[in-house]
Amino acid sequence: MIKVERVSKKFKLPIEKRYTLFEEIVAFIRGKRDFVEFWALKDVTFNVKKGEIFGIMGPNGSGKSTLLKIIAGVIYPDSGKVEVRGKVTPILELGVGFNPELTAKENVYVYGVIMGLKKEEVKKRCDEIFRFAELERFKNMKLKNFSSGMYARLAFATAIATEPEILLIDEVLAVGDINFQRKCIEKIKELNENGTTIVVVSHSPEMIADICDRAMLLENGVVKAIGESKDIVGTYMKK
Amino acid sequence: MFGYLRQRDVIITLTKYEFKLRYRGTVLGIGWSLLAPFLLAVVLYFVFRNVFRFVENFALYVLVGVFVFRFFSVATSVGMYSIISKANFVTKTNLSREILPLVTTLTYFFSSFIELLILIPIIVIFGGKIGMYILLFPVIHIVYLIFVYGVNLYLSAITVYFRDLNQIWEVITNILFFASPIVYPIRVIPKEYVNIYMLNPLTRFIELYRDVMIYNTFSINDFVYVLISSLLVFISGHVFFRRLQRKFGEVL
Repeated sequence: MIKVERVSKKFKLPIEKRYTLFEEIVAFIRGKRDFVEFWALKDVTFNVKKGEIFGIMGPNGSGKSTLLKIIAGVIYPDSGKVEVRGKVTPILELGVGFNPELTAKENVYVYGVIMGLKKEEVKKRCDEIFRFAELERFKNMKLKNFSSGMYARLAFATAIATEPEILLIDEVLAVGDINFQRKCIEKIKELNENGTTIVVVSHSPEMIADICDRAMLLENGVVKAIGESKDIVGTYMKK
Repeated sequence: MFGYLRQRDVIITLTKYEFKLRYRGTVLGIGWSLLAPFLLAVVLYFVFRNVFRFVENFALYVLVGVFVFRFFSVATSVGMYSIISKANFVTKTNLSREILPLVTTLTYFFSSFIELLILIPIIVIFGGKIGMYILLFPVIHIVYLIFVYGVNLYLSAITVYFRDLNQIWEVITNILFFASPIVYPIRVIPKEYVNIYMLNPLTRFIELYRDVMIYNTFSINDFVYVLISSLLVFISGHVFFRRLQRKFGEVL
């Protein structure tokens, strides 16, 4: 269950990004400390029920990813409250911590524990992960020899093997070929049937309409509509 | 505040592979990492041996000093990058962020442990007294780990905001090298400054290692001092890190 109440987030973007103390001092002496402020999210309120698949759509820069990061606890809101009950597994990027010098199997171990699995659980599910990714033959190959499709399949297979209570997915479903994408969507539905609450951010209206129960339309950080996913997709398409 | 320490599987797995990647799984890997400090110790010995003739077993004195200091200097100079070099762990996962500096510190803790173990036969050959007190070496090393980890919590968090910290830290590490009794004995420090000089925990650490590894004695005073100061750095490091980490997700 996720409850988001009046969440706002302001970003201060420096016109020139300063990374060092030296640049900071130079900018201070010159009296140039200007930055652009904008609200990435403003007064966003919604909730996701347990066992639901909830979609978030909106044009580029509407704040979808920021919102997902706030739910994941990666960044903090400036005001408002986020309440999450259950263990959150965010898939904001596939293959975080993948190392090209390690073998596929070693990478599954590393990525698996990062995504919250116990070492024993990774061991138990290792075969299943490779079967799902259709990469059984490449278990002991170094990751640097993998194609980007293989890489993404391995990462996705590992990430969803965690049997999460709450899954946050940011645009990562478009991996692999059509067959694999279909397989991923099937797997997500299957996880959901077993009780996983899922929040999906996507550009694809078909996918939102296909898998989500409810959806929300964001625009410039403001909630435009919340409701049945088919209605929301309709509203989005009309614009 | 310390709840993340319970995530043992992540900590152990990440440390294991970071260690493995560092040495590429070769025995020679460790050998190479020993060569540079060993040569440094030899050079320092030949430069200073006539000046400090009165120090008991000066060759080993310098050798242990160099290797003990090395854990601090190497682990911090690499550890300060532990957050920014793994930015996507911070921005794309909800892994406890303390784990990143911890893993790097642990990796160097183990290599330093192995390095010091390799020194033991050399110490025996060159006439160091190794006795019962050597058993305290792992205990001292764990306290040293707590200290270095605390320092890395500070450094890795500051580096997120100020990428040029490495320039400053390099100078500080060099100063600390000469402000610690590595190439000279403590007794050359003027009496009126000894109290200030002994505030440096590194001084006490180096003395503790030498005591148990070369002279077969042990100073409980030094040990209590390093234990308390390490815990202070460790706890304050956590408080500091927690405060700075809130913006990590945006800055990186």
